[in-house]
Amino acid sequence: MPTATQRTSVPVIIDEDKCIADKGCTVCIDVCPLDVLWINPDTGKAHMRYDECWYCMPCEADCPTDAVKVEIPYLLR
Amino acid sequence: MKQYDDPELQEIAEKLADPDPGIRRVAVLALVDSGEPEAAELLIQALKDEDPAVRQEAAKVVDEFDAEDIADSLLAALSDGDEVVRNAAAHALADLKDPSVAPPLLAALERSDDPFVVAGILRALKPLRVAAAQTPALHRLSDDDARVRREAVGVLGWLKAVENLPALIDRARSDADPEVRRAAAGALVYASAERVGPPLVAILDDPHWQVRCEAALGIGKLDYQAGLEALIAASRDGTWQVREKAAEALGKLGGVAAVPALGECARDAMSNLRKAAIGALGTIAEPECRPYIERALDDPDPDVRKLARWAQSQLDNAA
Repeated sequence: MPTATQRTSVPVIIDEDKCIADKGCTVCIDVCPLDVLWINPDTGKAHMRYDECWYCMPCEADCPTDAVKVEIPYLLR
Repeated sequence: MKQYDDPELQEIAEKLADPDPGIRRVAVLALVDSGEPEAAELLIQALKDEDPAVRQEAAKVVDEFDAEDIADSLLAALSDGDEVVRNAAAHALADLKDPSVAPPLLAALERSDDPFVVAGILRALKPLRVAAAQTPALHRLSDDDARVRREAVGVLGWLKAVENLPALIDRARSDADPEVRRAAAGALVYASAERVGPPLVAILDDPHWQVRCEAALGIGKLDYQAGLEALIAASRDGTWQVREKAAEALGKLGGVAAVPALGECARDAMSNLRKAAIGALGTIAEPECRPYIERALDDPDPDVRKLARWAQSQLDNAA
């Protein structure tokens, strides 16, 4: 039986074209209660490093450029 | 560049001078958290930034600062090319409530043609209640833009001057925009019932339900007894919100003549209206009210039942 060994998607998706973390913005990172968002050293943009989301939403709400989108699982909606 | 004692503020100031607008934008975000009074200067600088995104970011946080320190920049920002910036500036200025900013606001009003800016300045002038605003506000009552007329009505309503009544009554009855009519109808209540009662009764026939609501509310507030028949008619209005306001107003007028109409309202399908009707019947508290109130004791809506108990106690106290 084939098993999935790797997750292909995380709930917090950041639009790298809009993200201004490379300019020094850390709003989503500061606001996350679980500290799961980090800056990707390769791109300088924010990304979800650990998949441990509470779906509390401030990262999406506070992002100054509307770059963050949180995909809430169907059963939590 | 100016040097700041606070190292944090100095860092923000340097970033605000960065050629990259993205970095300047992020610096504005940091500005809010700085407790230093000099932060206001930097905000002013950001409000004048050449990049609209930076100005927008600055405009979003203006209400975190003492508007008095930045009043001049806010006035300048009222004519910004970007609507978000203009809007934030107008809102922040409206929060000032300091009569000393009235002269610059009036001067800015004089030379502004943009309807959005004019409306913003008028909104800021309203709570200041300066007599000098009367003439420009009367003049703007005939503006082409409904937002301007609406704010001009607000200014005149707050001034509460008897000589403005004819102009306000005219707006309330014949403005093309329902929101202007509603605002004007609501503004009339500062006058005596004899003066504005008749026009308010006429406004009960307005084609727009919110305007009718406002008229019913006004008649009740002024306790205009001659409006009783018109309110009874309004308690059978096609829109339940109007019926609700009419029922409340009938309670304020307090006549027994209204009881059968309120009884009808107490049977309405809309529970909010039943609540208003039972509340009014409890206020009137005459024996004629009793059957309607007792029937409402078994109402499906708990709020109505609660109010019916209160109304019943009012009746018992009156007896």
